[in-house]
Amino acid sequence: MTEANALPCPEVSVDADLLQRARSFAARLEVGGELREEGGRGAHLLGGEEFVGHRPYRAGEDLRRLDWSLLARLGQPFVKVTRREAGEEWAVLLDTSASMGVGPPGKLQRAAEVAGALAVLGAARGARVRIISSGGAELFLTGGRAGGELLAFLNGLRAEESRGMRGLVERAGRFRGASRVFLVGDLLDLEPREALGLVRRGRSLAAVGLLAPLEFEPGQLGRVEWWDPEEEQRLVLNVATESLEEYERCLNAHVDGWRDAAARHRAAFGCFDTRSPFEEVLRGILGG
Amino acid sequence: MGFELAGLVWERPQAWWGLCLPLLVLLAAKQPLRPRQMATGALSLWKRVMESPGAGGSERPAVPWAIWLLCAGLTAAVLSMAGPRSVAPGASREWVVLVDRSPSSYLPAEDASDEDRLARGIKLLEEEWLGLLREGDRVRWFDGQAWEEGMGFPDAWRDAPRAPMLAPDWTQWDAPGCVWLCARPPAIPRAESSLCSGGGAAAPGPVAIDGEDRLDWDGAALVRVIGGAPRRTVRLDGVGGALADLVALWADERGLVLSRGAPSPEDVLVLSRAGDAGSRSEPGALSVLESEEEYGARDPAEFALLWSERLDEACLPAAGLSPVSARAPIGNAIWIQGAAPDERRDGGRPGRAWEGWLALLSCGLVAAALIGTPR
Repeated sequence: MTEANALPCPEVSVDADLLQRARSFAARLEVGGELREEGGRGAHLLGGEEFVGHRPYRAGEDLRRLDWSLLARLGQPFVKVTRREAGEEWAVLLDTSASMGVGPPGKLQRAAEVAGALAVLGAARGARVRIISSGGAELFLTGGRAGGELLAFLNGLRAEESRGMRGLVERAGRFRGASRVFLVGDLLDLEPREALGLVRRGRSLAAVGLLAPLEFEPGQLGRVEWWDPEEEQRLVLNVATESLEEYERCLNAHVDGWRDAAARHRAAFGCFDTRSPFEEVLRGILGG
Repeated sequence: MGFELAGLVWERPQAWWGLCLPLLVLLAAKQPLRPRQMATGALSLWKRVMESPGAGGSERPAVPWAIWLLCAGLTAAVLSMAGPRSVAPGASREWVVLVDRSPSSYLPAEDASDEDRLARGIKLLEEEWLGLLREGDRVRWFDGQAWEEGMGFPDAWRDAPRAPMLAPDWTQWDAPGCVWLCARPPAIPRAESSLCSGGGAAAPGPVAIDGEDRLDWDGAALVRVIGGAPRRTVRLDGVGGALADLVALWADERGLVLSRGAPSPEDVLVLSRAGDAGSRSEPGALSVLESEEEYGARDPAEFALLWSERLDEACLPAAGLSPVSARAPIGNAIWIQGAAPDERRDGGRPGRAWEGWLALLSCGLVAAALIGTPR
């Protein structure tokens, strides 16, 4: 990448405000989750109430969690143990390839915010959260900690190199224990089938596609030399009405392909403009 | 000074530098067409767009037509400023040939030759100058008093005028397209006119008359010819009264003979009765009103003095007299080519001017460009 072709938004800048907003969002989602106990997509994705076993009832516990049918059959009180209580691992796969430096607002900035919010959300639910960047950096949060360490990790990310989401998916061994996998990136370098191969029994998958406004709705730009910061490829094109219509068709086909494939695999998918705040992105994915 | 190009005469060709202006505008208009460089992660999608038919491709978009109109308008304005004028076919140049018809020009060019100095000059002029004429050139001849027009030398001027003439005022005619035709090169500086001098050897002959004698120049000195003065007559045609008496006395005093007969080559003065046109005076001839023939209530002395001055003024010298300076040898024939006539200053019919139409076209084009500029 030459200096003349510097990326507009290669870095991440987050502070404590992100943690506060994420915690606030997690609390709202918790309340909303109770309401969707009957089973919305978000409830399925987070799976906080998913039944994994029984344990004896302890005095003072909420009677609504008592397994009444087991009490009737065995004559002893047992409560249902949910996945959250059993302890789980989340994996947030974060694309930090050079193309994530496109913006503004920068794709990597928004992706980092989403990843940070997911970490806060996971920690709040007692899950161990592993954030893996395509650049090789990794953060593993346990014991409900998601504070300064998380911020430092996110602020250290930088959009560079050509390794993207595909590389992360190929390293599935790193997060084999994860029951929740989140893909956060532009998803433009990845076919849906490659990502959805991560779905298996006992694991849910959510894919978050983030596109810069320039990629989401380019507008009539006239003559443009597009360049791919990862492969240094260039393409000169007159971005006018006809080419915009064709671009929109291609983008819709890409998004529809992801959406259909995700639906077939009971995975969540959403494609968002980076102008959307991370709360909106997560609501779209988790249904909060 | 005009400059001829593309069938037009351009009055101010330096204005062509202004053509750089529309060129600069066009270059500036092309600047924004250089593609903007933008990073994207969706290059794969744009590749598909480019491969799809009718998606615009990568061809360069044209310069807005309003810019073309503006440049055309500016070009028309610049051309208008350059002053284009069509060349009027066949009438774009005028030559003026000044002819020295003073007595010197009519003296023999060589001893015992029938050819005078002027004739030799004309011959030289035809040899050297006729080849410079273009088809359609206009030629005018001027002897200091009268104008003639035509390609050939005026035949009427081949003979010496009865009344001696002065050479033209050469200083007034030193310009492109002027030709000085003379026997002796004028003693003034010449810059742009052409010079055709016939030259000639010494021409001995009568110089003056002194009473009844004649003074001749023999090529070296003056020789008195006793009783050699030629007969000179003053002819009265219908004039009488006191004036006739006065003329008789005046003529006798100057050795002139009074005549009332038919016109003669010896006449040096003719007095005639004026008609309705009134009295008239010219070299060699006076026309007199009947009322002027008598002095009436006027002082006779004043009458005599006045008429004596008029008669002296109108009386011609004897034919064939030339001063020694005119008879002296004047060397060889000379031809010096000067500047050709200027098509814009020659007074000929000017060609059609296009400035106005071009300015109008320029205004229209610029207005159309302004209307068509996207807002």
